[in-house]
Amino acid sequence: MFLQEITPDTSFYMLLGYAVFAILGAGYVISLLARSRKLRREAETIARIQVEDSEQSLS
Amino acid sequence: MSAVQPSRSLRILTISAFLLVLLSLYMVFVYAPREVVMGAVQRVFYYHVAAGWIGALAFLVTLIVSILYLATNNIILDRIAVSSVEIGVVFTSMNIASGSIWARPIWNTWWTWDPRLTTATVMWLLYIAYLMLRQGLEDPERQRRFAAVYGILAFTSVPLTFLAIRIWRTIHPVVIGSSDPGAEGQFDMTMRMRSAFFFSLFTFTVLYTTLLWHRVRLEGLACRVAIMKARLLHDR
Repeated sequence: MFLQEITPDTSFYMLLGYAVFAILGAGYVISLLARSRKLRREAETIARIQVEDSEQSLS
Repeated sequence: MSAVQPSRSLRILTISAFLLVLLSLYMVFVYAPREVVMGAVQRVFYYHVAAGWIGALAFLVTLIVSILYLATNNIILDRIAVSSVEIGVVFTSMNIASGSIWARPIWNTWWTWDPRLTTATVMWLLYIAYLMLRQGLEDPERQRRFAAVYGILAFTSVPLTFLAIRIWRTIHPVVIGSSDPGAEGQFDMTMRMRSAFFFSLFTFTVLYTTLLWHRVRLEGLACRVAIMKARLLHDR
């Protein structure tokens, strides 16, 4: 009875493991959103400059 | 700018992937029983293997589209290749980091130069190099061709990583098939564990498809912005 095995408490490592999945996963999704937003803003700025240029050339 | 907005199919896929992740978390933490020898850390297994599977799948997709790119010169195939490598690197990072965390209480070390860990690290570094080397070439046509050839050659590391635990003596357990007698961390899966495991694989595959679709669209947007910039500079 003294050799009876008990399940070790490894909850800390489980939480650490899932924290890695959450941080890397969320980090990647945020990086996709940030890059998408930056490119959309750039596209809008270029489109606005093009409109201003065409208005200037007409006047 | 309607092309900037995600299509209805992509929105449905994104919501489905999110719901599947929630459901898989329920399967992993509630539905699957606690393993008696390793305790709670065994639950890392479900996402650890799924992340490794996505790494391999992503690099396989890169291999296929790289071959097709060299045959057809279709730029969309190159966009899929670079997008897939990026996602593959993220999931391989998850796989290696979570494996290290799992190893600490089971192998009593964060890291050991075991054949599986070594080949997985070499594979990961090869694909990080793919992303870095792409940036080093100015000419877009050369960049795409170089990346396609590199994407084909780098894939040799994927089967090597998969087979490492089957052909060499290793401490790393085998999920499907018999492990090396020296492997530590092996366990018998119950039906509920099996269900949680295969559901995690399915969830990660849907997640990969969703991320790939978003990432390819982003690459397309980057290309359009680059063309707009070039036109603007030319017109001025």
